[in-house]
Amino acid sequence: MSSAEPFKRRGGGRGQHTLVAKATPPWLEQTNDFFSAVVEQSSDGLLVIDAEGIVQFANPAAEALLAGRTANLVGSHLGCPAIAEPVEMLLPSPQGARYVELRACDIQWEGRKASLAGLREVTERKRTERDLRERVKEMRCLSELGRVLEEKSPVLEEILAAAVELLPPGFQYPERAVARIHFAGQNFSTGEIEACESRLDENLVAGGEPTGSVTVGYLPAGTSEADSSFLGEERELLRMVSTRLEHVIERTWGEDGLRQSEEKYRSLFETMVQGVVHHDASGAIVSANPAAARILGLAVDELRGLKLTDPRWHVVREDRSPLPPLEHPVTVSLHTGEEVHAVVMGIHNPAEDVVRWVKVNAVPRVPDGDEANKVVYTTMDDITELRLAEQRRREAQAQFRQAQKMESVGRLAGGVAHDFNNMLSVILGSSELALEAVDPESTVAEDLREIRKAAKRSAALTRQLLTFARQQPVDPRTVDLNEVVPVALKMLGRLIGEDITLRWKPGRNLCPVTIDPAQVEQVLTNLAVNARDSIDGVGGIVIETSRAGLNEIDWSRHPEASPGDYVVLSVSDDGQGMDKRLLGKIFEPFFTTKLESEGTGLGLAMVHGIAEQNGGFVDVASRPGEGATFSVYLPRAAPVRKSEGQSGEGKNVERGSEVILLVEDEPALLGLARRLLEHLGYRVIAAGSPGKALELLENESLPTPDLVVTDVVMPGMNGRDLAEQVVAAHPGMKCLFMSGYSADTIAHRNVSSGDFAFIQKPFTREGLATKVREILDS
Amino acid sequence: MIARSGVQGHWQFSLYVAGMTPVAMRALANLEKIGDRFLDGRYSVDVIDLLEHPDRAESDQIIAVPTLVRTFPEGKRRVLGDLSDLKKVMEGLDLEGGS
Repeated sequence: MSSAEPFKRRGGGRGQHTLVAKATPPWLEQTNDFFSAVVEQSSDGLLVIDAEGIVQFANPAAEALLAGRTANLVGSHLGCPAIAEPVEMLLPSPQGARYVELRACDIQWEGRKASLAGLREVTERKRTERDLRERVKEMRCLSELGRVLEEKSPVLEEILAAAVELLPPGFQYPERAVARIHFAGQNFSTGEIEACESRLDENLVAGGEPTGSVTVGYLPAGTSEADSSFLGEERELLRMVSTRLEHVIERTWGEDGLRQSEEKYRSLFETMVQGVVHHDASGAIVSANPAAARILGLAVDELRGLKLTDPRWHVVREDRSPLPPLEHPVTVSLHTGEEVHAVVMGIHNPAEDVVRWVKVNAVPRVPDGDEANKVVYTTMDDITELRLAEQRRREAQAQFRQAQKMESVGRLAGGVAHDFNNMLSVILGSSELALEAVDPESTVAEDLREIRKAAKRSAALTRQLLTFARQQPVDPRTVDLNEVVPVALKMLGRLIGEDITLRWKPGRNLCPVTIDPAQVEQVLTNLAVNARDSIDGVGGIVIETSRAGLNEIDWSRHPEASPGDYVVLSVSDDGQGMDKRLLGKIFEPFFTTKLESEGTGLGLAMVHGIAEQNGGFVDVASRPGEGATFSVYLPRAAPVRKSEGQSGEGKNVERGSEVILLVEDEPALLGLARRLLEHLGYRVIAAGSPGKALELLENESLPTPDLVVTDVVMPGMNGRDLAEQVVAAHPGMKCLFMSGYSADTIAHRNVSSGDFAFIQKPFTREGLATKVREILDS
Repeated sequence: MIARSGVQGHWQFSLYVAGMTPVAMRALANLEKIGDRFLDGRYSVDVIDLLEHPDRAESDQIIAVPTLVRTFPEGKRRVLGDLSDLKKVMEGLDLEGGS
């Protein structure tokens, strides 16, 4: 058989060889052929190696295995196999190493000891085994990575630092492998990636944006033959690692975002002014924000589990009738599944023991369509202050209407007083002039004196009318209260009636104060009326004056007052007194304890205003049932310069000879005033209107006046405008205004500012004489 | 005999391996055993890693590794494998007591 031929031929380097002896019987020949065929066809390499290690025989498979490694296999010095067990050998080659399993046994070869070596290629098996090992490493790497990633460390940096350590063991040459994760400007690495000669890169893409990379590289090995290439599986591994990292990054970002969002809404919930309550399907409170807790008067923890229909809150409707639990917005919303809006209700706040008014909305929600998990959110707006403000607005409107009414009355009274004062001036002045002309002992003189007395009393009544209407002009002067108060006592006596005794206790060594005496009267009137009203039936009122030094005043109660010596005018009564709450309100304008028809609510406000206007303040001491004392503190002024013969009949009135321009539109009063002034020695140029006055001033044949005495309210031009024109044309010329009209009118005309002097109608002869002299001498 | 005269001198070996695989390490261990027992430690081994010196395979005509080559005494002798068959090693290296 031809298959036996090669066996013989290959051994032919040293002649023909057979496995057995040469002289063989035919059956043995057949056996030889058979074995030759087996050897030739074997896929395992078979070699016969002699004792020196020289190859004596090689079958085709052996030739194929060792091809290229030696020029001539038979005869080459391979070496004797010295193995007790099969051993894995490597066949080095520039074309790629192969692995063989070497077996050996002793044989006789051509009569000498030799070794039969069997070579079976195991390269593929080795590779498979190695691949398997690599896959196991990669699997282990991924599994370890999964474990680290699933630990869900909240800090992404910690996750990445742990993950990078797991990468090198997953690669073929772990001892040379370096891994690096680059993320958001940070590097996590196991070594110097820059020193690596070969690298494998994967980008990290999270949220659609490139955020970094994962890199594995091999450091250079000592041997030039060292393999630094990456397997396809390793590329796949890196891809899987980066995908997993991307998921973790996105998850962490998502969690961060969710956490930030949760924190944001939690903070909003905690700080919002609107109360928010979360109810479960039974209506019980699951959670509530601090605003809700404030409205409901319980701590957030105490609210949990309660229902808003709980009797402790005495929930009432807007009309204050009890709200049945079935009509409560939470109940309605739970039962109907509908939203309930803007229900106004009163809730008794147990902590403050007050009713808080709230506007409630209830919104039902059914998460995932599961009715059993239905919840209701209620929001509560505290409208208590709003309602209070609304109520105050209504009250203020009523007060405003009352004040308007009072103002109309005042304006009417002022208007009447103007004309009435003009008439009284004429009556007073004429009677005085007549008294000069007749024998003082005559009955005519007595009648004239009665006329003058009645006129003066009428003037006092007019003043009271103006005081009531708050229309009298302000003319502050330095006065002694002990002189001013007695003037008002008679009037006050009439005001308070006979059942109440009025006592006057003037203080000693009182300092002067600067105030319009009319305002003193006004203060006393208001305080006395209030004192009277606080006394039920019989009682007493004491008016007294005193001094108060620095140490006798509680300055903390009057921080706005300037420290110094004060004069105190106080009015005390033994009436019903006031509690603290009332004391805090009495100086508020329009506050009154009286019926609408009885008081304006302006009395004490006016007292307060007068005190402040004059640099002082008001103090009040009272207790329920123990009466009240109102004290008006006025700062001390320089001592009063008492002018001789200031007033009083029979005293010498002050005279003069200067020229006076008199302007008055009321002819009777013009005539009278002219006569009074001429009687006092003055030269009078009389004018019935401001126009006439200006015309007379231009008349060079007339002497230039030293003083202009003019009415304030006149048709065509008022007294102030006239005075301004006169002063502009004749600088240094002085002016005196006469008026019986309202304080507002005078004030608007800048009369009481100190630029011009003022005398109130009706005036007496002495009053006019004193005032005119005072101005001319100033 | 060369071998006998060699025994008295300092023997030198080259052990060709491709990385310190388990087989290579076994071969080295077995060589040391033999050297200690039969050469009284009078020997030295030059381990040649073909991974580091791949060109030596061709120049030294190494067909398979591990291969142990006796470089001194003169007259090169070679054995293959992990050297676990001591008798074969001694025969192959022409050490006394091997035959």
